[in-house]
Amino acid sequence: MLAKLIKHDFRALSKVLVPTHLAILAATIIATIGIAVNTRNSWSGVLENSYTLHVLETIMMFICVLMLIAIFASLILVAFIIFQRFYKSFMCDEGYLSFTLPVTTSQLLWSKLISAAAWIVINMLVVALCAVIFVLFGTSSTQFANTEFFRDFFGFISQANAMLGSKLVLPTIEFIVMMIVSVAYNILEVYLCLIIGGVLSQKHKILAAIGTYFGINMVVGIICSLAQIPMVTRLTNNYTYAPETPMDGVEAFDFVFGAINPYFLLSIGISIVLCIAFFWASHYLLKNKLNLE
Amino acid sequence: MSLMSEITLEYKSLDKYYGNRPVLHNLSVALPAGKIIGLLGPNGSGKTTMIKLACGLLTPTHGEVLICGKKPGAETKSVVSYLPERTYLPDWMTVQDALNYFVDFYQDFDYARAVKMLESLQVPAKARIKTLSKGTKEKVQLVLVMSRQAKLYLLDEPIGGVDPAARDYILNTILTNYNEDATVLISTHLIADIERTLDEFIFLQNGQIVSYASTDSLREDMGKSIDTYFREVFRC
Amino acid sequence: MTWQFDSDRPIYAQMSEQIIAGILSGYYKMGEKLPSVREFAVLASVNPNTVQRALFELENIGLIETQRNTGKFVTNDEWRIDMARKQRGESLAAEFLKSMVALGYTCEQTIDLLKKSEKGDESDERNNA
Repeated sequence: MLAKLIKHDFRALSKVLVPTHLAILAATIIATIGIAVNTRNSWSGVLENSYTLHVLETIMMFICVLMLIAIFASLILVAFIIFQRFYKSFMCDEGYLSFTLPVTTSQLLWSKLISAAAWIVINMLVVALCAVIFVLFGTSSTQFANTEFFRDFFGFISQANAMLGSKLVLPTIEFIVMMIVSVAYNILEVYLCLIIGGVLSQKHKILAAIGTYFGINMVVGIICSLAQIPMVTRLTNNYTYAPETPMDGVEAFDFVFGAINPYFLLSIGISIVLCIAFFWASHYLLKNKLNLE
Repeated sequence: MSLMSEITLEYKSLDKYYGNRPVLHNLSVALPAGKIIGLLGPNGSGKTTMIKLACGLLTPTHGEVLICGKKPGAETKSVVSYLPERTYLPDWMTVQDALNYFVDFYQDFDYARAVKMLESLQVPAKARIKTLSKGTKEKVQLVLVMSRQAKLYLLDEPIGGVDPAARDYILNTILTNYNEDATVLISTHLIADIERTLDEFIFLQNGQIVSYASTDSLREDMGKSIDTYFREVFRC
Repeated sequence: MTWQFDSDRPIYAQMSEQIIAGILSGYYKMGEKLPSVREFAVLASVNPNTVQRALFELENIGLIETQRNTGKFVTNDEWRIDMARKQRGESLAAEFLKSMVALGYTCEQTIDLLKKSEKGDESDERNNA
């Protein structure tokens, strides 16, 4: 049943998000072409003497840059669509359909979490692809494609790998876990707020949800700062003065990673605990307290 | 005959509060299988709350509600077919999407029957739910709900606010399609329109059952229709 | 056939009366298959259990017969149908006479009136009244 739920949730999101992402890709290509043409024109100096064309060029450049910013901000749009879907299928009339399906409340929540997380990951990949397209074709003034950047990038990675090797495994894993946990955390937090909004108020569900969001963030902020106090004290005590002997790359990595790692692990731990708490609270409220009007 | 004595839906000394406001008070009733039962009462008497409790949209404050002996959950929801008093199909779906949705989630859903009924309604499968009129949306929902071979049908105000032709269509659809061993609970305040189809009726007032009897016995013993009796009981 | 139900008597009883009327008038012919319970329920907008009970009564007095797996049929037994007709006629006549007596007619006057009305002499009837 969970698989069926995910399938239908994913499809429902896809109805809006597939066109959205196609539009993002199209916008990237247009902006990339626009900027590529512009840079080439300026460098070749063809337009030096024409004032009107110069203004036109500036405006076009401006629009293209705005488009790129919008593309990188598309995560906000995607998040909005995901949360709107959640709100509609749980807190509005569609809830009568969702909550009378022969599934458990936790299956409903898991399905919403997994389909949302999947779309956020897809969005990140698409935005990354857009970045690659832009860097490759929009940043060179002399060549068709700017491969230099990627050569440098992969060069750096292989260098780091050669120097640190297996030492990179742990931070990489931690980073990936951190990414997953923080995606889940952010989704679950907003879900819980929307549910609380629906439980608190019949008429101003969204307003109540926004209020709850700020409330929860404040509480979480306080908890995190409190939890971090011993960590920060330790950090300042141990690492105020850098060692006197100059460090090589490996030593520097150990030094920095050693300093950051406990903090990193702590925040992963807190996030996981909060994820469980959010999930549990959402489950309890949906099961016992929600009354769709 | 053993089926006839089986209890499909049971409320056991159930209380339901919204905040501090009591909506149902000490409600106890057991509804047998194989009957069409009217849930009748003035507005605000708790009809919808009773139904929502049975389909698991609400939880009781005290007491319990049992469907075929089990508390509402995934298992009971697979045998309960519920028609809410509002349109609940998502806008973005097409009629075909809605059919697929029911096929996926409800094992007792009779796809061929639903398609046939939609054809006779002349609703194209490709039509978006959003483009349908309110009346058509309601009929599509009724078709979906009645195409299930459920053990308990909970129909909340199925004939409220529709014209006489639509009302006949709805009643006919219910009578033609419901599963004979099932219990059908229909809430309404339009008693005269529906009373001929009822085996039994429940009068609900201020969250309490004031009467639960069979239609025939009311007529045999008191020589009254439910409609007449209702007017007497609920006289202002 | 249109179905009319009074609100003061059980529907199954009224339904069986109306099916009998259908059989006597020839709407449902001898030996003919009757609609199924569901079909009757939809035709008359009544509960299937009510139909069941009405048909059960008719079966008890032998006006209809159940044939296994194929449904219910109007009986081929003419005698039973005549009996039903007689019974129905007697009770209608008794009822009618009672109403006429209540209006102040004697039995003989009623018979005269019936004879007149059979001739279709409606204007005369109005003058007398």
